[in-house]
Amino acid sequence: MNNQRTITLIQPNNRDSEPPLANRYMLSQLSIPVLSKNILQEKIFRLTLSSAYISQRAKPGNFVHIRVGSTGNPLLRRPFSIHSVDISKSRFDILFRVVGKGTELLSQANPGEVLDILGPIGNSFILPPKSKEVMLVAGGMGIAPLWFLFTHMLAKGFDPSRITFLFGAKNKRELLYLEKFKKSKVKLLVTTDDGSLGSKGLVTEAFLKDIIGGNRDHQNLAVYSCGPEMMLARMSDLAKEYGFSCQVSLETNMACGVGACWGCVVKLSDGTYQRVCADGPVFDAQKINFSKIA
Amino acid sequence: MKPKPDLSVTIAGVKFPNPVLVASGTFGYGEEYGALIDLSKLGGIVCKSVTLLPREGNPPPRTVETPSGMLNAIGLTNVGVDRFIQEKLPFLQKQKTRIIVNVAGRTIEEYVEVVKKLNPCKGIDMLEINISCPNVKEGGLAFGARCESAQTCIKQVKEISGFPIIAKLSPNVTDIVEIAQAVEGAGTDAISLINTLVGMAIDVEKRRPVLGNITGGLSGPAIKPVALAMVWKVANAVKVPVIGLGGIMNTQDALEFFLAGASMIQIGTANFVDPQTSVNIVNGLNRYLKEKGIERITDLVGKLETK
Ligand SMILES: Cc1cc2nc3c(=O)[nH]c(=O)nc-3n(C[C@H](O)[C@H](O)[C@H](O)COP(=O)(O)OP(=O)(O)OC[C@H]3O[C@@H](n4cnc5c(N)ncnc54)[C@H](O)[C@@H]3O)c2cc1C
Ligand SMILES: Cc1cc2nc3c(=O)[nH]c(=O)nc-3n(C[C@H](O)[C@H](O)[C@H](O)COP(=O)(O)O)c2cc1C
Repeated sequence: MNNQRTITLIQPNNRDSEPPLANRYMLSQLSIPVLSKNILQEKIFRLTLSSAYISQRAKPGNFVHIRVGSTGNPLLRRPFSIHSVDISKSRFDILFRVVGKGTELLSQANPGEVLDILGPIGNSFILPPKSKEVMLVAGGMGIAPLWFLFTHMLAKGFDPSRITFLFGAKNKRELLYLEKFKKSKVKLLVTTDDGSLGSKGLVTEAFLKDIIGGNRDHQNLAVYSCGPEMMLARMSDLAKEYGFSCQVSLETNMACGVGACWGCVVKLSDGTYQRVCADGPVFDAQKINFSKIA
Repeated sequence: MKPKPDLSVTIAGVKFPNPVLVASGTFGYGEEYGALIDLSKLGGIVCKSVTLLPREGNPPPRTVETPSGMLNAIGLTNVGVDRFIQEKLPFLQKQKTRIIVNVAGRTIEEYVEVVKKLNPCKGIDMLEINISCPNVKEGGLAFGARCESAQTCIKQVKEISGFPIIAKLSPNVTDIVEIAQAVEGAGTDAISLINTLVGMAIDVEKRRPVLGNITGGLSGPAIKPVALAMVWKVANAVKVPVIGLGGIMNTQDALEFFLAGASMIQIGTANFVDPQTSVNIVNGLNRYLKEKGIERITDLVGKLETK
């Protein structure tokens, strides 16, 4: 059903600096039908898309670049993390919040409609050794890639009792998947901006409280995070201060999505720039110079 | 049966299989798009601007979408000419398409140095001299905006270049025809236009410019009418071939540029929207010529009727 094009490997970017985290390219341009659409909350949508190509290759952290309209407005594609994958059914999901015209249009896509998608794109989260204590820290839509990472870890046999999931959202309605979390036996800590569930305040501060109070060995932590830029900047500061390993998935304005235009860059601590699309979107939080992003 | 229409174009002695190029800065060094399109179907690839030394570029955000277009302020990020030759050129040399290397500099000496380093290289068909980048503090547009400096830059490059050269012009000038005539006088083999138009976007909440560089260059469908008018004016005022670009998204747009006087076209921002755009346009031109019974694409060039 998918009009899948020939696949060749693009050479991974080779820079003088360290090789990017698990960089790989399996990029293809595909015509992918929408299987179903779920409205999870006001303005939060989940689309299930049918693609054997992407479901077989996607790794947690990868994203897809979707053409959301056929007119010139919006013009550019929009990037979305792969949220979950079902290899046996050849499908994958994206989860997104409507924030502008592109996401508005995408939220109107109906089952049967075919989307023009580039993917899978980018590097992926590197899984920790099983001896590590895993902490996943999601803010808002940052749940999108971390959910994929989390379910992938469980499928790979990680012990849920050694995983802590911290999830912060605006209010309790936007704390998605609470039932599923409960079933998974993971340790879940939630925060909300309005205090409607869990502790009131920022998820990063709940995280900090947990790592300083919970007698955790910071050297033995493997932290993964995704969320708004301010939040990731804080995670990066904490990672530098406490010396734990932390991988973050970043968002920037993106044009080509294939590494050609150098538009979507982030600044690293050494002053160089790397592309979120081709060198990321997953980066070592300790190596990013967040002060220069904003 | 009618013979297949002839899409080939020869400029400055270089024969291109078809008149569709991909524009500098929007197609990397070719390899980035290698998995997505058949590069041998292109008329040629114009690579990202190369400079004497590597450049990191401007602070982010570097791009933002605007109505029917986008602003960019990349800042000529590139690996520098030495690494370009070592790391990027080998891939390009293997492609069955024409290769045009785009050159930029901060001073005329830098343009000359870069060209000298490229001179011994195999697999380069032409150079495009970018005297029109709006996103760097020195050089780039500084040369392209004044007749004398544009002329001096192109003249000195032409004197030492082992390849035919294209002067890439900026639309951010009072009279583009004057500049075009100046670079023609300096001996350029062809002229390409337009580079991006200086533009800006503001975040009202933050009361800050959206782009890290404050201003950027506007490209995409929004600039097509401007590009078309400039191509038409320049094509009527110079004898060297004109390469038209700016907002070309489809075959219809491409045909407009040929009629206005462009011998070739380049596809820029459209690559981001659909990587197949350039190949689709090659096929579309073929179909159009066949349908209309036109033998050669060159028969269309400058055929705009204004009387
Ligand atoms: C690698 C990557 C993965 C992503 N994954 C997801 C995902 O899984 N789910 C999801 O909901 N979003 C994700 N995003 C963000 C998503 O791409 C943007 O929200 C979307 O492009 C906005 O398009 P729009 O046309 O609706 O908004 P626009 O009209 O472009 O912008 C509307 C408003 O939204 C703001 N905005 C635009 N982009 C972002 C952004 N990246 N983050 C926050 N605010 C933004 C703008 O500043 C503006 O104020 C991801 C981005 C990247 C780079
Ligand atoms: C992201 C981006 C980067 C660009 N980089 C360069 C460059 O390095 N050198 C150059 O001569 N032009 C550069 N350009 C300009 C394009 O080659 C082209 O002149 C312009 O975008 C207009 O064409 P378009 O509307 O089809 O994109 C760049 C354009 C974009 C959008």
